[in-house]
Amino acid sequence: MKPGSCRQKTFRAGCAPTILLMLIAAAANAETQSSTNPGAPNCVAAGSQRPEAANDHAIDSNNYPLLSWMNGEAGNVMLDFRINVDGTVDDVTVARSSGSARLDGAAVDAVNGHWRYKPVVFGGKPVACRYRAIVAWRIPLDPLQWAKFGYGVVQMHAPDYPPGVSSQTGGITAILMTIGVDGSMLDAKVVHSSGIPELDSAAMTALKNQRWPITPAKMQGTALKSVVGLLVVWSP
Amino acid sequence: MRGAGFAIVLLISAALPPQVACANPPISLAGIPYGSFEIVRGRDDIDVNPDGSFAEASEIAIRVLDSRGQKAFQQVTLGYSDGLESLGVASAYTLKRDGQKIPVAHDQMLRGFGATSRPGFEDLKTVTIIFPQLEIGDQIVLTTLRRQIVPLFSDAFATREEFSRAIRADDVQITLTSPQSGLPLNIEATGMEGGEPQQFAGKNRWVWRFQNEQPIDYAVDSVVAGNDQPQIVASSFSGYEAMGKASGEHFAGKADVTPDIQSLADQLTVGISDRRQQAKAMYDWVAAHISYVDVVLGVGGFTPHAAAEVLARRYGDCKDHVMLLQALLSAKGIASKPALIAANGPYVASKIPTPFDFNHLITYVPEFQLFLDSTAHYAPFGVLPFFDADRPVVIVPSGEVLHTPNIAAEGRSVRTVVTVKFDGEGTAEGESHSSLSGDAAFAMREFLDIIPPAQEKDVFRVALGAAADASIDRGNLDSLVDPYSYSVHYRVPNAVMFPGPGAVGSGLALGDFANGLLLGPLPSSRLTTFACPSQTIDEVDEYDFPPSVRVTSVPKSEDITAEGVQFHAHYEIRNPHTVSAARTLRTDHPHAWCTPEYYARVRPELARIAASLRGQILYK
Repeated sequence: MKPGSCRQKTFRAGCAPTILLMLIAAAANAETQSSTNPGAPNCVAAGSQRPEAANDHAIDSNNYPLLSWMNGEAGNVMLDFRINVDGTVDDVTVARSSGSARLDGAAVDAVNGHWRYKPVVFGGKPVACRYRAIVAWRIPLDPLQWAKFGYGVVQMHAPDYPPGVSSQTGGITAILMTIGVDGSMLDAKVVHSSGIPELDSAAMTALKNQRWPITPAKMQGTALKSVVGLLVVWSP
Repeated sequence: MRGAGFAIVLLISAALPPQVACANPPISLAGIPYGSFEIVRGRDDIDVNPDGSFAEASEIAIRVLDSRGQKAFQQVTLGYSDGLESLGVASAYTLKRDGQKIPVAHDQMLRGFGATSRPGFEDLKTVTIIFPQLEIGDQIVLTTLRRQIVPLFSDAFATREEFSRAIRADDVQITLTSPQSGLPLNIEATGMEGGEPQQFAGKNRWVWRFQNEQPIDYAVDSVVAGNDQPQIVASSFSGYEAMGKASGEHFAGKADVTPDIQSLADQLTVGISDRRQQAKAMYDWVAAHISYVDVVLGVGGFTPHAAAEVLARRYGDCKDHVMLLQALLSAKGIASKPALIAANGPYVASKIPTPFDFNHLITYVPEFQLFLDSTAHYAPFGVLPFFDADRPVVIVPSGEVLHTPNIAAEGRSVRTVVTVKFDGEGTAEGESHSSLSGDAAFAMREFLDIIPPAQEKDVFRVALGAAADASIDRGNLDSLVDPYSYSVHYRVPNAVMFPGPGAVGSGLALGDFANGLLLGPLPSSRLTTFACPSQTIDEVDEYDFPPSVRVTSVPKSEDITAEGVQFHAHYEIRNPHTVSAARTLRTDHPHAWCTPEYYARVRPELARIAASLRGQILYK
């Protein structure tokens, strides 16, 4: 079980900032690489600027190939595709493979027919042109993995949310703390952001105000400070 | 009026078929009532390695729609063959209607042995997952990873992913990847979207989608004649010949004749010179003495135990039965061959061969052109049970595709003689003597075998009413004499009301027997092929009323014939208080299944037969 994981559709919106697979559309190298297809001009050359997305280009984690997810396969797929005069996208090919057939194929499926751009205008008229983008498949933060490294898990639900943050959002804040021999918190830092600064700081505040009844380890009779990792899982 | 049918012929369709393997992980949906659940989401990623082994990640979200679905899914058991594959549960939870996820705790995931595991079959393992707080409207969500370590057939891969048009499915996607060179796959997909072959990163990739927003309402007796459900078949076997050869490698050397086997064969055939009778003696012995452990072919692997080992242990699965029978027959110079079959499966062979379509193994004796299933304990020599009949088989190792014979009307016959006597208070005292042949005898023996004597009376109370008292003489259950005879004696207080006027139903024995076979619910039309066995049923009844009662009317005598159906009913008032009835139903069909078009042609006559069977005897 993965608390707070985004495999579930109901978490889709809330998890977007941290867990969604970020798509780096119109990456820098997209402009520098000329199209493989001589039949259509390069969109950047034609429009003299990067084409602008006309719909959401994020790929949600529900589309992460299941087996790749389980095998821990991640990587970047560079796609070469045509933007049609109406802004729709088709003729998608892999310009540079991630090394995984599943990730390459899923990237093509996610883009082909789904992405749209504002029409690229050249000489006052919309034109068809070719463009490149990278789909970056990243395995999202998996609390179970963190738990293996000794991180504890704290669940936060709607009543725990700070004012001003919609309890429909969610994410995971990972915090590493140093606890003194008397149980007080000496130091804490966010090592993984939920993507929502208000949630991260609310997590820090909540933890700082706690006493940590930890029995310190001893070395030659001297009590030692403890380092504790915590995952604060924000889920409505 | 309760208990109108005074003749007792128990339904034989209740006989248990062998367990059937389901090719679609992670959850077997076989046997779960349609309409009690729906598939909200399904993901299946299969990645084939160059040696034919594979990894399969599956996610399934199932919403339970009623109490039957709730019962079926609150506890789910997955099986796997330890040593050959691994099965991990990546995540399992109940998804409540309000979106809350309730994870399955570790102590609610139980690892165990297969239900049928015994020494020698201990590779079959199970994981049972208990979904917490599952209520109607909630979903179970299960994600698993199955990794095959050793391919069941070296350098070969095959799978069939099948979907039912009777099950609602919102969003299902299957992805298959395989090496671009070295392991070519034959692929056939029907009723699926997508499936164009693509190439990425040195692999072939196919993606199929399936959606079924308006499930078909299948009649209860729908059967799959061919492979006509939405499905994907992928196989590296170039044809049945290759598949037969690969299967043969598992059987090599397993049916060797050892001195023990030779001496048993000699002993069983002492004084028998006719070769067919010799074969019968050996078949009878195996059927009677080797208890059947129903490890499904495919799940427990394809490799049988050696015949000598099976003989020493006195139990085995279907493969083991076949090896021992083959060794015994061969000790007497009678050649036989293993034959792969899909028990209870489709009646037509798939174009693309996959060994996993076959869940059972039987014996073929070319000399007599005879198929034998010695695991069917109650099937006499020469009788092939209904679940093996009229089905394609693949002979090992030649790969020849043959077809088992359909059961003819003579091969499934039931004859019943009933006498019922009513006393002045309306109590019925009856005797029913039945004599069954062929497959009907097999099925009835199996059915009676699973009713413990202590529960007999309850079974009859269900049939005849709570006040009924009945006893059964099971006759000779074990000797496999054909026909098989049994009789029932019963007493039903307040079965009828005297004095009249009143009515007694007639002929429901025949009606019960035909129920679900041909004359059941009689839907106005059918969408699918349906089970329509050939059979002969006849029944002679005598109803004896007390002298104070006068019979005023009996149903009309009739002869009704239709394509493949003959029905005859004759009623007679013999004296003012005795009625005799004789009815015969005979069906003859080329196959064990009939088409919706056939049904449309004969439905008017079937309706007339059903009406005749509902006829009543009136008295005053």
